[in-house]
Formats: sequence, structure tokens, C-alpha cells
Amino acid sequence: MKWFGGVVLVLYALVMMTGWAPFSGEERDKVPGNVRRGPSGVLLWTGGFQGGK
Amino acid sequence: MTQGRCPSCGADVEFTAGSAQVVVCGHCQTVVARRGASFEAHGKIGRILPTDSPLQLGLEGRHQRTGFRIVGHLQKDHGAGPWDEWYVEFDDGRNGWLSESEGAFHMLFDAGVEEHLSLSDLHPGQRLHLRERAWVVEERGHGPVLAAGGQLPAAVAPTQAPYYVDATGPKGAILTLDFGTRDTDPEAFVGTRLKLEQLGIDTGQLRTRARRKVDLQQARCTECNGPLELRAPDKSLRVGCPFCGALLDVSRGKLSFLRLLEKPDHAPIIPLGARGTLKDTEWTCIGFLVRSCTVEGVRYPWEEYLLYNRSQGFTWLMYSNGHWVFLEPVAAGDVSLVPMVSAFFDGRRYKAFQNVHAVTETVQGEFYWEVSAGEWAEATEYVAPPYSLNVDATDDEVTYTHGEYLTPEAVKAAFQLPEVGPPQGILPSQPNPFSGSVKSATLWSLVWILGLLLLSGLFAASALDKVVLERTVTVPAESVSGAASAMSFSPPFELPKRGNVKVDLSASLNNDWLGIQGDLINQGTGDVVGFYEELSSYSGSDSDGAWSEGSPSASRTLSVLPAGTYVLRTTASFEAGAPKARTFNVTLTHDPPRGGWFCVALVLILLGPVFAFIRSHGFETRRWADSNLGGE
Repeated sequence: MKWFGGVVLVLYALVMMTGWAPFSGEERDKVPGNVRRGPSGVLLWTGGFQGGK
Repeated sequence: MTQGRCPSCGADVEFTAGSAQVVVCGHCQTVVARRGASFEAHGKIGRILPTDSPLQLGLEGRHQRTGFRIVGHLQKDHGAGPWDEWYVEFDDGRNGWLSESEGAFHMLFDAGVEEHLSLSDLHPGQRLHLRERAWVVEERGHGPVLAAGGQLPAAVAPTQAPYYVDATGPKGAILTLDFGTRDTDPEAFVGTRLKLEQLGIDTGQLRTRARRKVDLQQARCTECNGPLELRAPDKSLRVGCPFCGALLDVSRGKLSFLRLLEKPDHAPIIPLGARGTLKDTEWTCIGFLVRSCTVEGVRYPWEEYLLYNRSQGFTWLMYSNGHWVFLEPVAAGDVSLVPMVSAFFDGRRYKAFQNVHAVTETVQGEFYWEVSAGEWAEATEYVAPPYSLNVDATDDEVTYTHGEYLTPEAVKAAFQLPEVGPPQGILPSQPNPFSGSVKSATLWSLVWILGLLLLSGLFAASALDKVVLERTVTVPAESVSGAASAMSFSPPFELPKRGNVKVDLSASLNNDWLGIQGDLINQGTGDVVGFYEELSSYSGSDSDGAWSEGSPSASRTLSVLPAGTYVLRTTASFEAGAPKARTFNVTLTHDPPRGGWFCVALVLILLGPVFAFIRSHGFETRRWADSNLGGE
């Protein structure tokens, strides 16, 4: 049982270093290759999930 | 020195002690008193009976650097067998009394009359303050002087049965109050408990033990003629025959039948005569008792084994439901007591656990007091596991014993016992097997928490915690919810290193909601990390008063994003209805400190000691559930 704290510490360090955020609720996507860029070079992508309930 | 002749028989008598007022004639046992130059006869007194006392008249010793000589001898009997008291004269002119009891010696000095003290006010167990000291009454009794020899400070009257009270104080202090035939104003004698070797007597002068033991060592039961091997014949007063259950008296040097007892329904676990080594001493088991108490109609029996060692005296092993306790007598004066609450002894505090009416049911083997079936005592137990303090009180006597819990394996190994069943239940003084793990778990938790603090400090110090985007977004009134018209693109911003991003959103809402879809778009790779938050704020009032619900702000931390240039695209969702402009604020913080995981790690680390504490506390709860004195 005494080594359990050490395991916790190791896991804590791993989580902090990797930045793991399991409850962020984020979604990953990629901008399609045919999206145009604006005058400042910004990708003007209007597709993808638009939010809402 | 005064010499003369006995007025009764004419034999030579001699006064050598200056303080002696009478001398017992060695020929006719006449008590001879001196009146000036002449002698008077003051009746006769019994001849001294041989006992196992190592002392004798004429012995010289030293006490507190002053020499003394034994000049007189009394034998008294309060119904439990004779005991010896020796009159001693010191080189510095003082005189005192050296009394013996179960192998211990008490050197007492006359301390004068204690006025206004009444015998009826003194009871066993009572605490009193006399002569600037605290005392505890251990015994109250009375008994005549049966025999005398040598020189004495006053005449003795064998027809009288004087009353006495014995009390003990701390650190071996002894007090005897001699009431004589009065019931008030006793003569006080104060002194110290000593061992034989502390009397400074040359061992060559000591008397050899009485031959009484030779006659009794191989005796036979007077009822069934079964062989009785007495292992402490010079100390035993009662013997329980293991064959027929007869209780026999041996106090007068020979066996006499008293009564027939019910034999125990099982043989003693430690056979009588068995030898075993405990506490670096070899003990012989000489007696076996079954005692019990009844609580709420339920009988709870236990066994007590009397152990004997010639130089250490007597001690006890108590057995109950597979548990063993080693019990040693202690002086009542060494114990500070709040009856039924707590006791303090030898630097340790004991809590009161139980008080029961203990009855002796069956008896087997030898005993140094006049034991009988049916005898009772009020037994109070105070515990500080693995130790206990036990107070047994009768009308005339109180005895204190200090107990130490022994593991069954230790007793089994000491006496080479066969396997006995595992212990059942929890004994009051049983050590908590989990308390050590609480300390260990707590200590280790502190170590790990220290490590956690160091680590979290390092991570916090190395966190960038930089606001990379802070803007207010206005959604035009004519926008369509969730459509491109409700989108807004931020200016590009840099994430200088790989790290988390924290998003903070807020809006001013009034009975409305606003959904915000946020997409972080990596301008170099085209990767998108999207999130959705819904802000709302509703309020009103009803019969219960004002109410509100919803939250106009939200926050979340996204997982690690690689370094690069990003743009935040926000898309608003809202209730379709009358067009109105909406505004919200968004703040992005790069590589923020993440305290949430610190809390999770802290809770996990604390699980160890919490679990250990729950186990330990559960054990204590089960222990104290059996207490009838209020518990912990």
C-alpha cells in the first residue's frame, strides 16, 4: 500500500507532462484541402460541426 | 543488657534490646516484663510455628546504611494462615518491624497515633492522604497474635484480635494502621517494601526452609486417595484434587477435607505441573481456576492459571476464548485511579472497560489463599492495549494486577501446548493489528504528498500561463443561428510551444441562452480542435420567491495542441425569434497551470491512510462494543 502513493505520483507526472485532458469534450477534425485562405492567409473554413443542442 | 530468671519456670531470660519491655521465656513461653530491676510474668503465649521464613532471631542486616538486629518475633493469623513479624533494633537506637507477606518484606517504623481516623471509614480500594502522602487501602482485617518469641516492645494478648488496615503508596511505600481492639485512633506504621536481598543479611545467616514441604510434596487426597504433587507446599493454603474435585486445606501443615467441588468440564489447557518460560522466568503451573461473570443473563467464563517461581513468587495467566493475558500483581499505591473512568500506572493511561461481578466456579491445584468455589470479587478492568490494569475488590481486600496480552503462539511455545483453536472475538486488551498500518500509511502519505507538492510546484513554475487571445465577439442581429452568418474568425495568434489551451467564455444574458461552437484551426497543418459551450441565464420569481438558473460563463481546458499559428473560429447558436445582436467574450490561455490533477492525486494518496484508519477504527468499535462502562 505504501507504494501506491508513488504510483499516483508517477501517473500525475505523466498526465501533467502529456497534457492529457479526458474531459475536455473536444472534437478533432481537419480542414479540407480545398478551403481558401483570406487576404491575411487565414483559412476561411466555414464547414464542420456548427454547434447547437 | 539485663539478665534474670523467668518468674514462672526459673529459666534464664535476658534483655539485650534497650527498647524491649517484655521477653518470651524460651522454656515455658511466659511473657516476662521488666519492672525496674525485677521481672513480672504476664501470661503465656504460643510457641512459634515453623514456617518458610528465611529470618530468625539474632540475624543482623543493614537498612539504609544502618545496621539492625532481629530481636523479637510475632506470628499472627487473620484466618488465612500465619504470617511472621520481626521486631528489629537499629544501631542508631531506632526500632522497627519487619513483616513478611508472600515473599515480600516490609520494614515499618512507628509513626505515632493517627487521630480522628476511624476503622469504619476505611475500605479496600479507598484512597486517603496521610503523613503528606497518598495511600490506597489494600486490605482490612483482624487476627490475634498466636505466638511470640524473643524480645518485644510491649506485652502481647493472644486472646485479643486486633484490627489492622494495610495500605500502599507509590514507589513501594507501605502503611499499616494498627487499631488494636479500638475502632479509632490507630497507631500508624510507615515503611518500605523490600526484597530479601535488600535487607543486607549475610545469606549464611538465613534460616533453611521448613521441612513442611517435604511432608506435603507427595501427599494423597483424603477423599479419593489420589496422588497430589504439591509444587509450592510451603506457600499453598488450599488444594483442589484433580481426580475427585475435593477442596483440601493445607494451611496447618497437613491436608484436611473442606468440601467437594464440581470438577471443571474440561482439562486445563496448561496441565498442572507444566513448566514454561515467560518473561525470562521459568514458571510452574500449580493452580487452575474457572471464573465467570453474568452480563444481561449471559454467562461469560474464563480460566486463570496460577504460576509459581520460587524466587519471583506467584503470577497469573488468564485465558479467554483463545486469548492469553499475563498478569502480575502491582501495589495499589502505584496506581492513580478515577474509578470506572480511568487509571494511570507506570506512565500510561488506562481507560475503564468493564466492571463485572466475578465468581469462582471451579478450582484445581494449589493456591496461596483460602480459595473456595463461589467466592466473588468486583472486577474492574482498565485497558491500554496491549496492557490492562485489573482491580479485584472484596469486602476486605483489593488487589491490583497489571496484564499484558500474549499471543497464543507465545504461550503455546512457552509451555509446549498442543494446537488450540484460533482466538475468537476481541479481548479488551488485545492490541489493534491495524494501528501500526495507520501510522505507516500516514507517514508514507506525508512523504508522497511532499513529493506531490514538489512536482506540482515544478509544473506550475514551468507553465507559460499566457493569454494568447482575448476578444469580444458580436453576433449581428440578422445572423442565422449556427450558420456562416453567425461565424467569427479571430486574428491569428501564436502558440509558442506545445501545451494545453484553456478557454473562458462569458456573455451577458437575460432569460436567454447562447451556444458557442469554437474551433481552433492550425493554420499550418489544417488540424481543427473543436469545442461547444452553452451559456444561459434565467431568472424570475414565484410563490417561493426569486429564482435563477443557468450560468452565463463557462470554462474548459483543451488537450495538448502543438506549437503553431492558430485562428479561433466561433459560431453562435441562439433562440430563433426577434432579431437582436448578441455579444460574448472569449479568452484563450496557453499552457495554464492544471490544479485539478493535483487535487485528484492528493485524494488518491490520502486513500491509503483513510482506508487504514477505517480498518483500525472498525476494530476499536468492535472492541468497545463489549464494554459496559461507556466505551471510548
